[in-house]
Order: sequence, then structure tokens, then C-alpha cells
Amino acid sequence: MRNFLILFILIFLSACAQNPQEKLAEAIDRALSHLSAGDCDAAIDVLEDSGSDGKDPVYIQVLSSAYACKAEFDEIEFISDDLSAIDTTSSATIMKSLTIMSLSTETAADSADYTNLRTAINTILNSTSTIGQVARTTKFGTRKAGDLGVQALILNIVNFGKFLHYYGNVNATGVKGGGSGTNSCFLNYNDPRAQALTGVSTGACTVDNDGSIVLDQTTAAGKRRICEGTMLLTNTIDILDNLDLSNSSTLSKLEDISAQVNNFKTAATAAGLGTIINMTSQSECETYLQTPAQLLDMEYFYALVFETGLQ
Amino acid sequence: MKWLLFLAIFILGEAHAFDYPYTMRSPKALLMGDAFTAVNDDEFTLFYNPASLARHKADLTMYPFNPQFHGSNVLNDMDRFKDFPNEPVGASKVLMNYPAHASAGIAPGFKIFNVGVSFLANESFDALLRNPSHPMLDLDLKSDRGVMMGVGIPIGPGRLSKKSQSGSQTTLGLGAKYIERTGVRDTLALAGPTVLESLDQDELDKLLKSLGRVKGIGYGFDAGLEHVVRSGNSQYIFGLSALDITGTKFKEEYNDNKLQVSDIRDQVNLGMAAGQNFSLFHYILSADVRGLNEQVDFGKRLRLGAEIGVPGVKLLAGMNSGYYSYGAMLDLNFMKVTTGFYDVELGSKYKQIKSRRFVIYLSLFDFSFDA
Repeated sequence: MRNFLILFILIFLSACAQNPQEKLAEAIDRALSHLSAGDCDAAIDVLEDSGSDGKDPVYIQVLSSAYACKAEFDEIEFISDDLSAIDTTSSATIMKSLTIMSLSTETAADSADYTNLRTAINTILNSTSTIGQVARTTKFGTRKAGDLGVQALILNIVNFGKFLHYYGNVNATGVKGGGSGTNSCFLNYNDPRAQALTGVSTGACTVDNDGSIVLDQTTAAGKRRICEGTMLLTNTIDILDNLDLSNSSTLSKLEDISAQVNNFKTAATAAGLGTIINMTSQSECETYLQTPAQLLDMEYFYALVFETGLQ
Repeated sequence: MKWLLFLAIFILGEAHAFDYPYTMRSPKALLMGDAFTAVNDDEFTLFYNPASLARHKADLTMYPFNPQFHGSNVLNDMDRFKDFPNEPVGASKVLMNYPAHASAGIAPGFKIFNVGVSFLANESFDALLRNPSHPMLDLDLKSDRGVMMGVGIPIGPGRLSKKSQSGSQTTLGLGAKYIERTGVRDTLALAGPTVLESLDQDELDKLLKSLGRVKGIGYGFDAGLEHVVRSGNSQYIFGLSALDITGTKFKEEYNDNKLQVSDIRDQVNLGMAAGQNFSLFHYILSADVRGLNEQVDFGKRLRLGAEIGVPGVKLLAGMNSGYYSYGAMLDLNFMKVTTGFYDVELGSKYKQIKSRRFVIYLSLFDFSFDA
């Protein structure tokens, strides 16, 4: 009995501390339970306190979803209600239908919901040093990169809807310039190539100087927002181009979207805007906009893709 | 004393944060709150503490056919499953936060004097969908085949024979196991390509193949100590077991997606049991403190159990990590039937995720032989 007691005390006193892997697994488990209970902040706290280096794909997914949770995003409802309602008849109908999704309504730039979704997206996009689906596949393997890709894709679509809704100043039916704001265009256009497009194939945007005041190309915040809109589109295209979703009936809608948004890519590439349409990094984009010539390229890109796509 | 210190250090393993991927459990134990380290008197001795083999009461005991079935106790959740949707989106809402479990297994074996051998075959499925913002599926599919063997060796001066009315005995137990585990353990996005492509399959085989499976081979080792004190019709037992010492890790075949099956983490358990037998009536009270080598809430470690019986019938009850269990056993010598309900904790914290389950167990053609 004496030996028994000594052994018991020895074991009990020297119970192991968790190693980093176990600490991470417990943090993920607890965060998932917090998220199921709708406690998004507690989930973020648990994950960020875990000391993770951010290299675990499940950790990245859960942390991203915790920020999406703060934006009251529900993936099942999105797939059930919004995804099926996206009109993939043409590239023009897609943008319009994105603006009227259930979470698209925005009344201010950089709202908390929009910012949280942006953080959720960036959590996934910044998980690799080179941003893109190919890099994620190389780092995490097909299975986990597929999960990360679809999650980022869905979040991108939701935030793109918010972006188009607010900066396009749409009304309840998704008509640009018909909302409660004052602008009828996304940007003010100084570029002659862009000016040649306005009024011809840009719907409600018929003049060159009726852009959103919060997308002012001369301010850092304006440039940042312009790049955010661009990145929402380019990363959507990147994921759709590099992820095979053809074997899932539920995700077949995304394949339909892929076919149409690639029309934007084709048009931009043909117009000599391949650098912008293939750019997937926000910081790279903001650096790109430092020179006047490239600012004009971005104006042309907006006129060609955003003004033409959303009328 | 040196060997005690060495053993204590050796058995200290990793801490962890989710349910133990056991190979198999004793149905009787589960209905006693799994407070079984010191009780350990049925066909599943090797799964709890090999030292208990020294208490084997016959020269030879065989239990050739003993299937058991476990499943989620849906009786308590009938409202949830009423009008169950037949499309994935609706179904996922119903299944959100519901731990699904199903398993079927058999562990035939025998004991000769103080040596035991158990073969095992077990199929197990666990799934838990959480996080509405981005539904994620904790998936654990296991198909186990293996063999376990062990021996209980009395140490020290005391000895208890089958007919001893009083005295004490200390036993050292050693066990080894070989397990082939096929399956997968992963956390997958419900809206990810892997799960959605699987859900599009119209046959179960194709669905499982689509989710991915890998085969792993693992060897494990157990050790235990047990001290039994007998006095008249009373018996007191203290048990200490170190199961899957340093962890039973399965070596998987190479696969592109780095699929893995669940490894079995090491676990150090302390158990106590006390009982009295009045011929026509007996009772056992037991307690386990589990996972001494881990950092977990005390409530999660604690197991309490009770058995009350008359010849042929036993009533079982217990508390496992704060959750109740209860059931009954009918023992007709050649046939034993055990059934009941039990709850287990799946989360890393005390009372985090409750999984409600039932068990049905049948043991046929058991026999004992004394030379």
C-alpha cells in the first residue's frame, strides 16, 4: 500500500503540461464550442491565446470563421438562400444579384461587418507567403486547401456583395446609383480610356466625375478601398480557376459563377490590365497605386469591370 | 523506490484535448460510469488493467462470442429528428451540435490462470458538426482488428487463492497489443469539396471512400498494479494502470493528403472499489480518477460507479465526468445480456459536449473450467 501511495502522489504531482500541438487542439475544440454557442469573441480569444504559429489549416479555418461570426455570417444560410439566388445568366447579372444578397446591405464605408469579413478573408489569404489557391495547395495539400479555398471564396462573394452594394450605391433591386447615396459611379475617372467607356456601357454611370467620395484615389483610405474591391474580385477568380468543384452538386453554382467572372478576366487581360486582374495581394495593390500611370490603369480597370459589370 | 520513480517518469505522456479513441470498452463498465479500473472483473480485463488478471477465479475461462452495439441515444432527441430534411443544408441545421456515434464490435478471448488474451474487431463512427458560421465536421472513422495479451503477476509476500477468506495480494500486470486501424480522423469543412463530394455519393462504400481512409498499424503496451484486501465477505481493491504507455501510435501508409487515424494517447488511471457479497445479495462501489498524467479538470477525471445484484441479475449505475449512466445485466451463465444508457464527455473541458448513448451487449457460450 505504501508503494501504491507513493506512486500515485508522484504521478499526480508531475502531470504533464500540454505541448503546443495539444494546446492548439484544445483551443480549436473550445473555440468551436464557443462558435456553436454564438460567442464569437470568446472563440477569437481562445484561439489567439493558444500561441499558434498560424500554420495549422483547421486553426486558420476556425479563426477565420470566428471573425465571420462577428459579422453574423451563417454559411449554411448563405448556401441555402443567397448562393442559389445568384443570377449567372451573364457577367452583368452576377454583380447585380450580388448586391441584393441578404447580407449585402451596407450604409457606411468600412462597417464593422465588412471589416470583420475582410479580417476573416485575410486570415485565409495571408496563410501563405504568396497569396493564392496554388500556394495554399502546395502548403496544405489538396484536401485542406480545398476547404480553405471554398471558405475564402464564399466570404469573398459575401463581402464583394457588400462592396458593390455600398460603393455602387444600389437601390433595393440592385440598380447602380439608385440608392440613398449621391454617386452614380464607383470612381471619378481621369483616364481617357475609362472616360471613353462611361455612358456607353456603364449603365447609370454616365459622367466622369460622379464617383463615391470614399473611393477617392488621392487618399490612402481611398486607395485601400479601391484595392479591397479589386482583391475581392481577383481572389474570387483565382480560387475558382484553381479549385475543382465539378464533383459537387451543391457547389455547382460556383462553377457557373466561374464561367461568367472569367469574362471579366478575359476583358481585362485583352485591355492590357493583366497585372491588375492577376494581382491577389492587397499590399501589392496599394503599392502599385503609388504612381500616376498605374492609378489611371486602375481607373480603366474599374470602368471596364465594375461600371460595366454593375449597371 | 528507484523503480517506482522510473516507472512514474516513464508513463508520463502527452496531455490532450478530446475524447479518447479507445479500441473498446466494457459495456458493464460504461454503465457503471466507466469507474472500472479496480472492478475489472469481466471479459474486458485487458482494456483496463492487466494486473487484474491475477484475480481470475478459474483455471480457464472462455468467452467466444460477445458482440456489442453502441449508438447515439436518439430517444432523448426525438423532437430534433421529427420531419428530418432530406437535403444537405436542412439536414446540417438539424445535426448541428449533435454528437453522432455508432459502433459495433466483438472481443472474444480467454483467460488461463493469470494470463489473458483478447481478440478484437470493432467498427466505429463518430461525427460532430459545429460552428454555424463555417460548419466543421469532426469525423472519426475507425475499423480496428487486433489482439491483446497480458499477465498479472503477484508480487510481495501476500497471496490470495480462489477460496481465501482473508488476506491481501499485490499484483503487477503487463500487457501488449497489436492493432490494425483503418479509417480517418479529421476536421473537415462541411461546405468543402471533400464532404460535399462525399454527400453526392449514392452508396455508403463510395461515400466512405470519398471521405478518405488510411490504414495504420500500431503496437501498444500497458502496465498496472493492483492491491486486493479480502476480509470475510468484504473485498477492497486499489488499482493503478498505465495504458498505452507513451501512446499507441499508428504508422500509416504514405498518402498525399496526410490522412491519419486516431492514435491512442497514454492514460494513467487510479481506481478504487469496495464490495460485499452476502450470497443472495452483493454490491460494489467504485471510483476512478482518470488521466493522472494530464492537465484536465478534476470533474472530467472523476468516475463513480455502483453495482447491486442478486444471482442472475445486476443493476448498474454510475457517473462519468458528471454524466449519469444506468443499466442492467442478466447473467444466465451460458448467456449474458447487458443493456443501458450512458453519457460521455467529448470536449476538452468538464461538461462541454455531452454524447448520449445506448449499449446492447450479448455474451454467448461463456464457460469456465477448473482442473
